[in-house]
Amino acid sequence: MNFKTQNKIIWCPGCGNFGIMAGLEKAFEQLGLDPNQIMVAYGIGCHGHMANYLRVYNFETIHGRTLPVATGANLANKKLKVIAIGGDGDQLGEGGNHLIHASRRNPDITCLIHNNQIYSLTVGQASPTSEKGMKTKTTPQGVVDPQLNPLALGIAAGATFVARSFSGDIPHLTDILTRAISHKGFSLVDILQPCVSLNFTNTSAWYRERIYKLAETDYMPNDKNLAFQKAQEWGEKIPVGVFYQEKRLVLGDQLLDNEMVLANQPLETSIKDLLKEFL
Amino acid sequence: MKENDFNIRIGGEAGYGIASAGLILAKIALRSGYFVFDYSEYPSLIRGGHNIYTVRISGQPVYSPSLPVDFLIALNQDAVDFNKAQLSSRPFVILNSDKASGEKLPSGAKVLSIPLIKIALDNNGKEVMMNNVALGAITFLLKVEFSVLESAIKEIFSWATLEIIDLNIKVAQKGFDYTKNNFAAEEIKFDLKKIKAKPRLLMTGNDAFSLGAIKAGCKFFAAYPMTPINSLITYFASKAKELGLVYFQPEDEIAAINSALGSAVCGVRSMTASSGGGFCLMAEALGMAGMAEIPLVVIEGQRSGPSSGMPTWTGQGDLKFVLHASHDDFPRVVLAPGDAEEGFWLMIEAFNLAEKYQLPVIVLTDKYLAESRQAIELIDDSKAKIDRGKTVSSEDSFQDYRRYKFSQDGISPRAFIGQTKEPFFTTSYEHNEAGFVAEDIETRKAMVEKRMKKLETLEQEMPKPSVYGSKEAKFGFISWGSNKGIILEAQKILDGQGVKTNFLHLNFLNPFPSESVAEFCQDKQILLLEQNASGQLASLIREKTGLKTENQFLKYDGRPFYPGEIADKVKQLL
Repeated sequence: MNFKTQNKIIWCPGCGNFGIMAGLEKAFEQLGLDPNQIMVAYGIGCHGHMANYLRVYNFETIHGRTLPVATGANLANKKLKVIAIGGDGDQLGEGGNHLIHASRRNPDITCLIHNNQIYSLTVGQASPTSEKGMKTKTTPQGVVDPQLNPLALGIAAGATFVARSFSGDIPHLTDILTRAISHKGFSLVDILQPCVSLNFTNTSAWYRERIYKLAETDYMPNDKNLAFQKAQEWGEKIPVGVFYQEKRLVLGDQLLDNEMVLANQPLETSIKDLLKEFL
Repeated sequence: MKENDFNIRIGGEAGYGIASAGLILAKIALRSGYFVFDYSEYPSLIRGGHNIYTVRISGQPVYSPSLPVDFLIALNQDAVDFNKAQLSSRPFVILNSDKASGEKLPSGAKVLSIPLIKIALDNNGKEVMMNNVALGAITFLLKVEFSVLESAIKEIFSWATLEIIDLNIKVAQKGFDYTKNNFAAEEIKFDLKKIKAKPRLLMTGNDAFSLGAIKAGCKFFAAYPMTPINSLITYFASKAKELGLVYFQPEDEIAAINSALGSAVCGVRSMTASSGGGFCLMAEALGMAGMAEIPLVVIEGQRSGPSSGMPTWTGQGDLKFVLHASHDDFPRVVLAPGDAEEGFWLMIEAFNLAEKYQLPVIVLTDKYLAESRQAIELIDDSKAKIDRGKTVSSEDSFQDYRRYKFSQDGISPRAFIGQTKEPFFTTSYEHNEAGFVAEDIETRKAMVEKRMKKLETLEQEMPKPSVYGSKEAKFGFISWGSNKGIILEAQKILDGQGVKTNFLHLNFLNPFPSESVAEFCQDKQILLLEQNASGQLASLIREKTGLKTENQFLKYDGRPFYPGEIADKVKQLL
């Protein structure tokens, strides 16, 4: 199945987005999905260019608002696989409030964070995940704030699938994305990626030195407290894999009867009975 | 006192059940065959303060509240103090002798002192049930059968336990009996004896908007609570499950509008609502609707601003804001219904326009219209027509489908995400026909012109504004939105005094009916009325027609216009 459009890709050579796009294509293949079964809502950032390259229903929205758009789309058509993709600025800065509530509500959508620890499209400002002390265009003296922890935030707010992967390990990423998309409920995936043009601290090599796979340990992702603890691990060792997973009723099934696709409902409605209440 | 057209007002503290009592009174009047128009004022709090509920009742159609108040039910001293200035010269007053004294009332007042609280408590009721005692009293005085009050109480309190309902009825009966034993009903010069009439509906503007949206096939409504659109949310949410609709409560107004847009691109008729402050937060996403060409209906319920302002008071100060909200140029429709009935039909029109022209439609209303109840004729909902414009179904969706294809009228055939054989692309960036990012000169110009062309196309099919009154009149009113009924009433008063007037009512503000407005202004003395300090409609008229409206009646105190003050103003000018 072809998930690519004809458009020329303009990401910098070595950009982590190439790996993420490859991971998505392979995940779609593995899940046996057709292009017309998938909707992706993008925010604003380098990740957003993928809207021109991926052959699925792309909706390039505004900065930080992919999660409400995706939630609306999911409620409108439960049969669509809806993915909300944003950078660390979109999902954690501008859109932080929406991340909290999406985690809480458990809509059946997948949230990807293209986390390169910097604002790239606007050419080099600090992001909520930039490390303390990092020198950027907005922080010439070094970042003063501690990093925001997206996984801990998601777990605390109630996300039912929380994972992290790395754009440089496509097999691992494919596996995580496959599981995230097929998870019934809100899936939060933090995808570490280098920005070869603007982030000279968190390079591919930097990540590779630190990443280790949870699957290669005896870690089990079924304990929320343990998951919260594990999510705090960062620095010399950075875990990737599934941190937490649980089954919980999804938003769509609570607001609509099981098989109902709102978009397929006939528009004709009689209001004769409703009017009687006003007599 | 006009026998056939009178005002009853209930005044007291918040938390005294005034709103429910008022509704019961209005229902009694409605079911006895009368026309009803109610209006309430309350401060922004849950307990305390001073709330008033006024219902205007008439055997003839009435289109607005009026003054003075003929019958006052004063539940406390504030009710006397704050309302005495608006009483008629010979008012009737039911005074709660447990909390109020009649000393400050006008000498022509006929006072009926009733220990409302004592009666409630003596019969095992709670203090708040004093309003039921008062209802019992007024039911007797207006010569209504107690059974009519009883069934109204049962209906309005249907959410309560049987025990509470019975207690309310018992306490009302006591009020009825007490009054019967202590006062002569013949002294009251008006009544609610049943008159022959067709059944009518009693609804608020918000009710009408909800019903219109539901009739239009709206299936998704996301809104964050904000006065004065809250009852819209409550109604829609209460019907969602049974009708298979979704009311989605978002974390903020930004999520409200964005989720509505996410739903709309999938082919669901979607809506959001807020007041001025919440609409401020929606401005960015409004632009996305414009650029990505997504149908959306937004209800903006104005209140006194700016900022937090006076949350529970009315105003029309957001006209310019909704006309221009969001950056750069893109087409939008702005509608401003004049009353509940217009509100119902304009909502259906709003959804049709939103989908036909693939743009945001803003329905401007205000606290006064949203929350006041009017008796309207039965609605024949079979007359509603649904028009989705140029849509692409999955059967005819083809390989080369482009969401933003150029066309003569600026409107591209619209497919729904998830309903085509091939995926297609939607974007808030400037784009080419296929929906991919484009920044070259040719594409940019063509796309800007395509979007703006949609409004030109719409102008061709826009209805002309309505004109009420006598065509030959040399005096003309111009106004917009909810002032409609109030001005109609003023015209009645002036007509009765031999002054003929004409009235141009605008309920389409964008596109703007320049020709009709310019034509109306010919050979007439014009008085423009609106509820904002800067004369926003007047400014819009100048912008679109070049005409200056010399006489403007601007009111911005949070209260609606009253027919009497408009008539007075006209006589001053003549």
